Amino acid sequence: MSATHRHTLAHLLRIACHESWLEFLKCLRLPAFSVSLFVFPVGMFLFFGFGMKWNPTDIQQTLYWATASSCMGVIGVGLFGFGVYVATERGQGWLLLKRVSPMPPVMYFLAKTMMSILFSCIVVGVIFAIAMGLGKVDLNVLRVLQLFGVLVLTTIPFCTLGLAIAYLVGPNSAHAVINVVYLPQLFLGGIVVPYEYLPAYLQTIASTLPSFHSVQLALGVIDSANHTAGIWNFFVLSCYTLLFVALATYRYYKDEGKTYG
Amino acid sequence: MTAEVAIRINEATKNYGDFVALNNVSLSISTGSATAFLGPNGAGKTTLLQMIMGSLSIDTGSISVFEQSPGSIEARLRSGAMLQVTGVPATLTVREHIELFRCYYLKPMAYQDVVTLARLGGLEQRKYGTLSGGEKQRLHFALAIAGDPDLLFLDEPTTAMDVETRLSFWNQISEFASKDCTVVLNTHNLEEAESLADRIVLIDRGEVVVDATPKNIRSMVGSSVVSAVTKLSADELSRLPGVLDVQVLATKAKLVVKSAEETVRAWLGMDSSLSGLEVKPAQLQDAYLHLLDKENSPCK
Repeated sequence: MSATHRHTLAHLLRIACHESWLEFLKCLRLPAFSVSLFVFPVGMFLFFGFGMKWNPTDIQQTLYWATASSCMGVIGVGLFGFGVYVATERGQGWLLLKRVSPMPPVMYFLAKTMMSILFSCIVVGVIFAIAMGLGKVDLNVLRVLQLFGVLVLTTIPFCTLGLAIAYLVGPNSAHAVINVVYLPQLFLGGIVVPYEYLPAYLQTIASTLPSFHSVQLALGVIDSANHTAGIWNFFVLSCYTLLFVALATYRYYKDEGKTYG
Repeated sequence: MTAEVAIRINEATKNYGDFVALNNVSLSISTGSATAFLGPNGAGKTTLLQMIMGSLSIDTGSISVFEQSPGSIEARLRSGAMLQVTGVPATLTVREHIELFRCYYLKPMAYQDVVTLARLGGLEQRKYGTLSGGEKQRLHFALAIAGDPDLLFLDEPTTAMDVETRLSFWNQISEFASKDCTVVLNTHNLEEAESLADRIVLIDRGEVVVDATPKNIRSMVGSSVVSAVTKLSADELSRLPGVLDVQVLATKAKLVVKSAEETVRAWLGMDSSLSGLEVKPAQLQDAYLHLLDKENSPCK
C-alpha cells in the first residue's frame, strides 16, 4: 500500500463522475422510474399547452405551460428520483456498504444530485422540444438557454427536500410522505393552478412553498415585467436548500449502523 | 519478531439505553491473521464489527484500525467489507459494480484478478438483478476485494448458501486471505469459523467469553454431538468415556463428546437396545451450552 492513504482531488473528481454516470444508468434502465418522471409533466403540458384553450396569464399559452410543466417535472425528479431512492437504499443497507467503503459520503449524494439534474435536463428538454416544434414559442435562443438553466438548477432544492424527508421519516414511509408533500407543491405552489387564480388565503400559503419560488424564478426569465422578485425567489430557495441539507446531515449522522433490514 | 497490530480494541463499551450491547471488550488483532467473532443473535458481535468498521460510534474505550480511527478515510482505503446487504442496484452489470468499487481505491486490484478470484468469469455483462443467490454473494465478495484491501470484513458471508457453494466460497476467501490480508469474520457457524479463522472470539451478552484457536475451542467443547434413544440414565451416560456434557429429553439423550468413536463403542456395550444413533460435529450452540453453563454441567 502507498504511504499516503488519501484521495487526491483528481481521484475525487473521477469517483464523482463514475458514481454519477452509473447512478444515471441505473435509473435510466428502470422504465418504471424514468417513464413515470416524464409522463405527468409532459402530459400536463400537452393537455394545458395544446388541448385547452386557456391562457391564464399574459405570457404566451404554450410557453407558460411549458414552463409550469417543466417545474412540475423538476420537482418530481427531485422528490421521487432523489428522495424516494435515497430512502429506499437507506432502508436496504446498500448505503451501509457505501459508508464503510472509501467513497466519501458526499459523493453518494453528489451523484444522486447529478443524476437528478441530468433527468431534469431531459424532462425540460423534451417539453421545450415539443413546445418549440409544435407550438409557436416566441423566445430567442439566449432566453431559452437561460430558462433551461434556471429550471434545471431548481432541481437542487427539491433534491435536498427529498433527502431531508428520506432521512426524517422511516424508509417505508418516505414514499407516502413525499406524495403528501408533492401534491401541495403542485396545486398550492402555482403550478397546476396559476398563482393568480388562487384565493388570497391560499396565495399566502403558496408564497411559503419552494415550488412557488421555483416557478416564479422561471417565469421571471420569460416575463421579467410581471415577475420582478427573482432575487427574493432565489434567496428563499437557497435558504430552503440549506435548511433541508442541515436537517438531512443531522439525521444522517444519527443514522449510524441502522439498516432497517 | 512480533506482527504489526491491525486492530486494537481497548475496553470498548456500547449501550443502547439500558441495554449493554458491548461491555468493556479488549482485543488486538495482528496483521495477516484471520479472526472469527462467534456468538448467537444479540451477542454483540455485529455491534463490535460495526464499531471496528466505523459505522457505529463507541461509547467508552477506544478502537484503532492501522493506528487510525475506525471509519477514517485512511482506514477505509485499506479495508474491504462483505456485509449482509440488500438493495444492490439491480440494473447495473457485474462489471459496472466492480469497476465502481475499484475506482474508490488508490491502488485497486486489477479488474481481471477480481473477476478470477471471485469466480465471476462469464457473468460480467449480467445485471445484478438476474444473478442467482450464490452469484450475488460472489459479487459482494468481489466488491469487498476490489480495492486489494489489507483488511477484509466478512459478515455472515455464507448465510443461505447451499453446502457446495459454501465450500467453494470458503476456498475463494482462503485464497484471497493467503495474500497477507487480515480477515475479521462474523459468523454463527462454527464450521465456517474453523475453516477460515486461526482465532475464534466467542462473544455473548456483550462480553468475550472465550478467545482461543479453533483447536483449543474444540477441545473445550468436544468434537462431536452424539444422540440416540437409550435406556441409560443421565448419570450413567455422564460416566461414558470422553463425555463432556449430557442432556436427556424423555428417552432421547444428547452427548457432547471428545471422540465419537470411543463413546459410541462404550455406549453400545452398555445398552444393546440403543437406537436412532446420530453423530454430528459440535455446533456453536453446543459450544455455548458447554462453555457458558460449565458450572451447572453434570460432567463437572
